[in-house]
Amino acid sequence: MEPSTSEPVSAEPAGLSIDGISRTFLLKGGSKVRALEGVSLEAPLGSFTALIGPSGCGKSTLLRLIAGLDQPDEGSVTIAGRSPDEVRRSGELGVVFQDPALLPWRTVVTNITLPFQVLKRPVDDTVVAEVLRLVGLDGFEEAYPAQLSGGMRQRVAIARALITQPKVLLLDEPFGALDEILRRTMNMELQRIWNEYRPTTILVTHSIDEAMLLADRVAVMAVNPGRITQLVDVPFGRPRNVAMTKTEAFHTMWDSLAQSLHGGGQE
Amino acid sequence: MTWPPASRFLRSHAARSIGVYVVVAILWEIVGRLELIGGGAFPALSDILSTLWTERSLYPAHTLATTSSAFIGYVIGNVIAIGAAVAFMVSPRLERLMRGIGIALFSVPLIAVVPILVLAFTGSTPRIILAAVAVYFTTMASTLIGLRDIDPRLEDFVMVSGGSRSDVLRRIRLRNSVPGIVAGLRVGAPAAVLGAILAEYGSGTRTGLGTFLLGSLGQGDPARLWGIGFVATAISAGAYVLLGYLERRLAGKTTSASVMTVTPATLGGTDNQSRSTRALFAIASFAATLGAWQLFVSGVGLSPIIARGPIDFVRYLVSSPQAAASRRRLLEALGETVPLTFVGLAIGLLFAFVLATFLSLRPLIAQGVMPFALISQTMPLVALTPLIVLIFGRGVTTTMVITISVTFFPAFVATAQGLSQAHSGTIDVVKTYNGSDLQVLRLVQVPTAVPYLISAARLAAPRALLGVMIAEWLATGKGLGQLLNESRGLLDYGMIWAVAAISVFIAAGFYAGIGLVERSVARRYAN
Ligand SMILES: Nc1ncnc2c1ncn2[C@@H]1O[C@H](COP(=O)(O)OP(=O)(O)O)[C@@H](O)[C@H]1O
Ligand SMILES: [Mg+2]
Repeated sequence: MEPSTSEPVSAEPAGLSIDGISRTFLLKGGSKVRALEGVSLEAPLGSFTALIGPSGCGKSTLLRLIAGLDQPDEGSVTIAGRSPDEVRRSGELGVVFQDPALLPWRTVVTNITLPFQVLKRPVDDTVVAEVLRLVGLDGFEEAYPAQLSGGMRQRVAIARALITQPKVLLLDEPFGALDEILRRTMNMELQRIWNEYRPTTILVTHSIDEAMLLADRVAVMAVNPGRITQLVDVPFGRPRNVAMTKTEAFHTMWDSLAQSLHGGGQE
Repeated sequence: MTWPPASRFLRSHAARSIGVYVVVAILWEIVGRLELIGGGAFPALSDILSTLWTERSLYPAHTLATTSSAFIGYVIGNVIAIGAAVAFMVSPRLERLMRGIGIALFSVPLIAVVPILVLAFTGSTPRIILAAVAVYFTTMASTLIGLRDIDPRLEDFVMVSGGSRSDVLRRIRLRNSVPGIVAGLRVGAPAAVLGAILAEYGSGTRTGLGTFLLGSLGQGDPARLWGIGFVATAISAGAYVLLGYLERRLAGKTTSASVMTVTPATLGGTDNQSRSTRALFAIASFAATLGAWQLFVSGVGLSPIIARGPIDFVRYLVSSPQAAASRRRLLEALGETVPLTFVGLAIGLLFAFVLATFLSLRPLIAQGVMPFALISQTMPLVALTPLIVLIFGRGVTTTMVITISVTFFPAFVATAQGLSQAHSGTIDVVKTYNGSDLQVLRLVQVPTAVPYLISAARLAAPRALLGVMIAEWLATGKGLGQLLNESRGLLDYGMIWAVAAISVFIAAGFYAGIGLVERSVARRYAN
């Protein structure tokens, strides 16, 4: 775990390292669900990794384990050499779920500054203004969630995740509830935002397109037990755009990812 | 992780609840034996049960009288409620017009109309009417919500398949309202028993649990009073549990044994008219309520000396020779009763909120307390005022205990429910920044529970006023309750009607006022 500047390849200690984790849930009737079994993954500092896989393959569970919201039965998660608990304490983690999970009784601004409040830090107004601009919500500071559209609410959730300028960003199907067109727009915005901060990002998604548009690498997962079956590099340069999705190379890779998805379980 | 079966049972939820009951029974026995509370006013459990056994021959007549009236009233009230809900479904305007009457029937401090009912009717009729009044609104509201709240696609589907609106009503809406009806029936069972017993206070009937309870109050036999309380509770709890079982069978899911959270906002349904239209309907609905009052007065054929309609009421307080004196007496009584109601309500709510919040951090203790909070929902609590008088005497303490307990229990259950309804994703967000349990509670759970507390407050406020009035009538000899009791003795019909009208007005005002707060909070909380 010695930080060594002489080896440019191994950026791991600064990134995210998942080492052989397993998680089994006991159900009420006494039966067990092997949500994850022997999952390992290295995500270098500033990289963007997508997790795709069928429902129930443990994607959300993996994200919760990375965030330290749940503990693995076996194995460990380290972020820049530290435990998730330590990272949480330092406020270097940002999460976005499928459901924006906003506090309906708070305005956009007070929702976004919730992390500062929890961390007992003073609110930095310039950061708030910048993050709002970044997600395109300037002018909606005093609006309540009920007054916003679904896409705007999700942007509030993203802004909230970015407000502490996290080193690690965890996104669990953040656009899963949006329609296709809005989803594409949000994909492009996410790319732009990610490009400005470069947090180490893990994105859970159902969509192969989304994974290929955004990620450096795609981890394909399978169900029963939940595991990673394949790790594929996405070779396209950045910034990526919608035109890219029409290229031959994109289609070839799409097909091969779809193939491995269906080889590993049913969608 | 594989416990042997016996050991697993001991760890189970059910075993813990049974354990709590056993511990409480033992504590009760000890406290009673040592006469620790009220100098013997709180007898040992074994004394109560043995007295109940030796006096068992006294019970059948009283129990039958109360239960049969409660049952008849319960059936009548519910049938009218379901019929009204269907009518209101078909005509939303009718619902808006009748809303004032519904709220008045829900809020009326039942004891306040007993003298009038006793003047107008004989025998068991007042009991039956009060039981019916006690169940009407809850069943009507929960049925109406079931009728209205269908998946709109189902309606489209029936219409596209060549069906008519009445097909939608018959095939979809009525079926959809069944869980609401059964929930209303469940909540109504203790209410009907409560209504029947209250009708006996001051009615002069010879038989009935209420009569029995009051008659035994002066005899210095606490064990008997408690035995009567047990029997009354057993009847309403039995009906409640039975209907709860039926409800789970019908609904196929566990419905929480909580207070009904029927908001005026949900009752408002689809109508989103302008402010002026709403105001117009409110006025019309108020006029309809006064009309119903007048109709009742002329309908029951009372002699004009006894019967007082809205106009007589105004005349009595404004232009009659003794108007000034009457107003003074009324104001004096209100000055006593209203503040007590407020204080009791506030303390009950606050205490419930704080305790539920604290206990949410201690789930094991909460699991121990919850069964008692739930039992209290099945008790005709205010009707058991004589027991409280026995322990706490005839002072203001009794008033407070009754008022706080009728407020506390529903508010406690509602708050606990609200705290547990907090959005799990939002809790995860707070935890992502290493938020403590206390921070989760403060930032997410407590604000989530606030609307639940407000709903509970709206439903409890009329009960709190009823509690104060009963305590005043039976024990303290002050305030509106006393004024009513006194006027009854003096045959001061004007005052009897005035107290009834004003107490309905105040209780409905509480209900509607809290409903307004609830509406604005609900708007803020909409997501
Ligand atoms: N808290 C839990 N208790 C019991 N089972 C769970 C829990 N969380 C997840 N599971 C189970 O673990 C499996 C993986 O779930 P999840 O991680 O949500 O899958 P995904 O996000 O890939 O759809 C599923 O079978 C799910 O039912
Ligand atoms: Mg998931």
